[in-house]
Amino acid sequence: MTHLHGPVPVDDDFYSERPFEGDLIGNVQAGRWVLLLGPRQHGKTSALIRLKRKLLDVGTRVASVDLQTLPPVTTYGELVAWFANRVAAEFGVSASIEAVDDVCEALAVAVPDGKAPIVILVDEASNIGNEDWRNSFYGQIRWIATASGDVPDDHVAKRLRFVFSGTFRVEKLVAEANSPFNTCEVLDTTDLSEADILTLVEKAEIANSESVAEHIFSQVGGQPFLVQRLIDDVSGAEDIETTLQGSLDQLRSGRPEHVRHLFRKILAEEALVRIVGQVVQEGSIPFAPGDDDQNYLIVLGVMKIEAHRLIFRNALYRHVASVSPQITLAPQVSGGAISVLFSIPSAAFAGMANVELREIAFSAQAGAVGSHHGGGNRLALAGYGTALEAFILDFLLAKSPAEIATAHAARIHGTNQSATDPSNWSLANLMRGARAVAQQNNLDIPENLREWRNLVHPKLALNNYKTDDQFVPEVVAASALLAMVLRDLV
Amino acid sequence: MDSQDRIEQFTATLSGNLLAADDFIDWDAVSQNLRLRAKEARELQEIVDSGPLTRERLFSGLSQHPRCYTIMLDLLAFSSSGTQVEKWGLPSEVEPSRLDWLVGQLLYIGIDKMLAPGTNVGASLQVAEVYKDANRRRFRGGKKLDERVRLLVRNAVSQANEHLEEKLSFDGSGLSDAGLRRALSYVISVGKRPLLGFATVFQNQSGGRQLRDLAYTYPNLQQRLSEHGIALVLIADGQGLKEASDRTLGLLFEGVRYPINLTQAADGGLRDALIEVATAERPEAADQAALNRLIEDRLRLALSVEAEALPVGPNRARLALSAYADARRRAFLVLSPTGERLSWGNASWVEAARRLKVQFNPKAALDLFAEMLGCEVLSESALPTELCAEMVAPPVAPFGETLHITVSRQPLDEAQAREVGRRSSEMTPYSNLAIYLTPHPISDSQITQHRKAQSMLAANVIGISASALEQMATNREPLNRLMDAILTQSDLTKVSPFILSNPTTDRMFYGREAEAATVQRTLATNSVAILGSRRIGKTSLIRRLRENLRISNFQPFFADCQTVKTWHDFAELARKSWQVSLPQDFRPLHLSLLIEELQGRGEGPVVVILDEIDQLIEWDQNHSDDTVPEAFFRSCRSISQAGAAQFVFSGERRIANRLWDAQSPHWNFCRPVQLTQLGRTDAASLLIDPLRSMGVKLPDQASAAELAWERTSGHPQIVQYLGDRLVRLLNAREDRRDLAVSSNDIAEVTSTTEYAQHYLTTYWGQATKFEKAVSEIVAASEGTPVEVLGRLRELGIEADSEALLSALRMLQLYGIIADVDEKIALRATWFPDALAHFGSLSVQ
Repeated sequence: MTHLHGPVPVDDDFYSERPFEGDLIGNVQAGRWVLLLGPRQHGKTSALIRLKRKLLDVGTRVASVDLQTLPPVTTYGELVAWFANRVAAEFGVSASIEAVDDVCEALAVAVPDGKAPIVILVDEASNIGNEDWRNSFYGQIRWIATASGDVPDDHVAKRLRFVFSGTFRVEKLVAEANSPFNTCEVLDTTDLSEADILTLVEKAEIANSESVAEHIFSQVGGQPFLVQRLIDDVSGAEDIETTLQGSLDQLRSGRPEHVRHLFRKILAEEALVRIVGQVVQEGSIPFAPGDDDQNYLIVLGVMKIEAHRLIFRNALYRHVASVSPQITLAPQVSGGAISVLFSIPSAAFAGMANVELREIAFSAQAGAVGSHHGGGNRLALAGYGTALEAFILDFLLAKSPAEIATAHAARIHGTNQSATDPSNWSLANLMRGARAVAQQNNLDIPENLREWRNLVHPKLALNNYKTDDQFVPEVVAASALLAMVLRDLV
Repeated sequence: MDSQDRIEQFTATLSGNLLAADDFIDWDAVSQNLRLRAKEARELQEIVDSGPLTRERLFSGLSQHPRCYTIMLDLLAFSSSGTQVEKWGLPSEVEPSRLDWLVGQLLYIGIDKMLAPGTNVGASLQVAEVYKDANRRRFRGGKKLDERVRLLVRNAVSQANEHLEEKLSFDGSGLSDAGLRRALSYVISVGKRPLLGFATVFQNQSGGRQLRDLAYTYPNLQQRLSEHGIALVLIADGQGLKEASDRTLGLLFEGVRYPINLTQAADGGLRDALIEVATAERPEAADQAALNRLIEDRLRLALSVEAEALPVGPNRARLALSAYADARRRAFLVLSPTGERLSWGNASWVEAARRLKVQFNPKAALDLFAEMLGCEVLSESALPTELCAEMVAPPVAPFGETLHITVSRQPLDEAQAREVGRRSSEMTPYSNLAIYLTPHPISDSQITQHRKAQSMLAANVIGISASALEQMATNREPLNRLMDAILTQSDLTKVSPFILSNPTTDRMFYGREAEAATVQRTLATNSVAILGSRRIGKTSLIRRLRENLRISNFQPFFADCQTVKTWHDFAELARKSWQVSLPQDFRPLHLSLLIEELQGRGEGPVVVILDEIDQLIEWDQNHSDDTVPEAFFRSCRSISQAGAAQFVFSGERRIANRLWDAQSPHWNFCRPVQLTQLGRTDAASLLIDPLRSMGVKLPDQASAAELAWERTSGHPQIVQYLGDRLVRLLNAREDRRDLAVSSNDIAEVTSTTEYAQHYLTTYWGQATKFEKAVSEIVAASEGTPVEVLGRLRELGIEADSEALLSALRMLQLYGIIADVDEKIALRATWFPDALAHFGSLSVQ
């Protein structure tokens, strides 16, 4: 059976082993540390649990720790103790390790006695939120790598071999000098081949297996999660081609979590958006070795290198990027079509002081995206307008009484509005007030957004009436206008 | 002269290229053909120049100049010889009655595309002639070599006859075996008695088939000829021979009576061989083959063979024993002084191994194995069905210090291999090899299967059967037989000596003598800052330095500061590394207390070595804990200048910038020692020595080293990366009998995009975008700083000369450029080629 949630169980024969998995165990058993980088839902954890099983089968001692399961900790010592206790538990070592600031010291207690090598698999290696702790943690692990050539044979530093896995920017996760990843053999997860897909389709006993496999491969390449999702969708369906096309259309809408998560990562970084937009326009761009942004797009799984050029990893991602106005300024959409929008990353709202207003603004624009994808463009415009209002209100609430007074003076009507509390001001006055306080001549808080928000009022919607699906361009513009205000009004 | 000397003389005079320049393209023939067809070419050119080749124009042209058609056929890559053309539906010449149809056919296959307006018919025809000539290349080369050999043999026979009473002649009629006659180019006889057979083998490249020919085909031919009393002269030459491993050549020289190359043959070697054979007192041919069999059978069962046991007269018997031993030099055979007895040199080992074949005794097998290798068994433990031991390993790569051995009566299977690997990782965890001694032979197919499974195991498990023990016992060097087994059975990546990510071990440390000497000399009076890019070998040098300083009666105290960001971190590290007591609220002024405590540890001057210091420098510059900027390093300076201790700092960008900063005079207590690439000889050793230690041959070592230098410019990490990739290449080879690395292999590895990417990212290291852009500009065209500045501006990159000079200095530190004073030259000379993998410059 197909597995769409979590790793594929180790004894499941619906699993296609990929060449990198052979390299993985070969490197570990040759004594090397390994960094396994690859996109989310690309089979890293499935590969790690198989690696663990294989190592145990040949008598190699191995423990795995998933940093995603790290509970809230309040000190660095607690983090190290948690990690070491997990390792101890994996080995059945009865040790209760108290908070300690040194990873090597803690692991010395956590691993079984002896001289045999110890392999520790660290899954989701980027999952230590606190930057200082993360640097200390990996810095100390890096020290283990350096020290291994300089310590006695029975020292734990000599015995340890690490395998790290995740989807992250190697150069940003840890300071360069502290990074254990520099000492690793870097392996990339690889896509399934078309032959692998055919095998999986056949195992699922789907009719016309060859044409189904070919169709899947042509759209999502060998992305393991998407392949399995599509196979799962068509498995048992009466009309396979129609079902498959429907599933693909669903993915192309950008709504499934897999696609949303991926594009949110891209939208969170301007440099990534620029590269992706360039590849949309030009089809491919030259691969630049040492370019961290290009490398990250490969790690994320959006791009790959072919003939020394950077191209989209599959037709699906290319389509989504090409119809997303947040990626390309000239989205390939025609009137009436739905443009693929993504909610603005939460980091863009991080500057808002009031947590409730922050939640309101973020949810309103996320709801706008949902409404748009559901075919409700007027509601989407209202969502963007609400997000704008929450953002400006937060902006003004954080100002001094004198600045609020300045803002109040800029109002055009609404004499009964409080001179000291902007909470009951109309959106029009909030916008005027914000402009006055910001004193930014170039700042344009767009009136359009306010006007479009009013389209939820039937009476106003009747003026210069258009059908809901005709408002796609306005929704696209509203998304961009809100992003501009978030960027400029700080 | 022993066989090793013979091999060396042979390989030293081999030809790298057997073909003459005109063997590739016979320009005389090409030119002559062009001259002969000049008229038709001119006529066709006129047709082409008259405009696009329409149906009408082609019809009219061919009507007027029908002979142009043969040129068209050549341009379309048809042989105009007739049948081949007709097979494709074209006539071999223009038939006026079918001209209209022919024109249609020509247009159908695209003659108008071939002869588009502007086409230079003469130039195109020249290409076509070269193509036609290429078909004759193989025969031309072979024919010339045949002729050369014929002359050599003829001359050698006539020269030899000047010295011989019984004259030699070309006569194969005395050789009754027609198959053998066909295998030989010439047979030389005295009267009707054949004495010598000649065969030739010319190899322009090395490969599985070529190696098989040398190692098996010709030795087998010699064996069959020996039964007729005929010595084989094998004239062998070419690049393939140059690339053959020592082992292959050993088998060739062991099996063939007279292997000889063209140069040796021309220099009298052939004549001498003829004289030697013609004048040798030889047993009758048929007897010799039979005697060999008798000797071999006897030695297989007994420890020696007596001349009197052979069914021939005493002199012939002694000669037969001597000839037998002479032809088997890898075997440890000893001929008694009188020649009457041939014995195994290590008779007791051979006897013990044979007993094991009959009745396997684990303890006896272990003892024999250890004794043959001259290694001490450190511990033994008897398990229910097996005997386990830990032994001192032979002191050569790829062994570690100790070696785990399991001795078992069970055959080596997957489950046994897993268990042995597991036990090895427990008992001898830093060895990547374990030995499994068993009475059961291991077949070739089992070895292939076993080798594939090795990558999963904790250690390479090498199966040694009782028969293999016997082969070790009969071998002049038992370790060689064991190394054969290791190369055949191992996952080579496990035993690869190349270190890619961590400081190198002593065994892999090459060069840096000048830098080490400078550091040591300076430390008598001053401190030192070792500057260099990531992975250039700073920490490896420091490790070596610590040992040197100890020997020179200094007291070195080392600390790896990669996790040190604050004074507090430093104090923690010092406490942990050196067991010193320092105040809880450690401040830079407390450094003198630290030094006082360290001084009390011994007699010599104190040297504090702080590796990876960049982070601490940054904090020392920018923190707000003290009003004195750079307080930590000011304290270091005071201590250094007072002579209380000296410091060795190592780092990359931050420390380099401080030392180069004219506004930072308090760093002048440090002498900078810049670490860039290795020198040419050391870089070659770093690649070649470890490969050789693995038993890998380098037949064209000089050109391999040259190519490796070109593709690495001596960067130690890139050299080791190349070595590692070569080991992986070898590991993928199914045939492990003759593992060799050639310059072709180096070219193969370094032509990949993966290699180019590694080369660039390693050299660039932590370079900024601006520094990368500058390096790309210099790679595109070397120039003065002013010219580079101009180029930057042309590309829209704003920069002033100060920023450029700073970038150039950093690129010099990274070993990318050589000089910043006048014209900026690349030091990493393969940079443009590496960049070419990725198309145009990223700065453009």
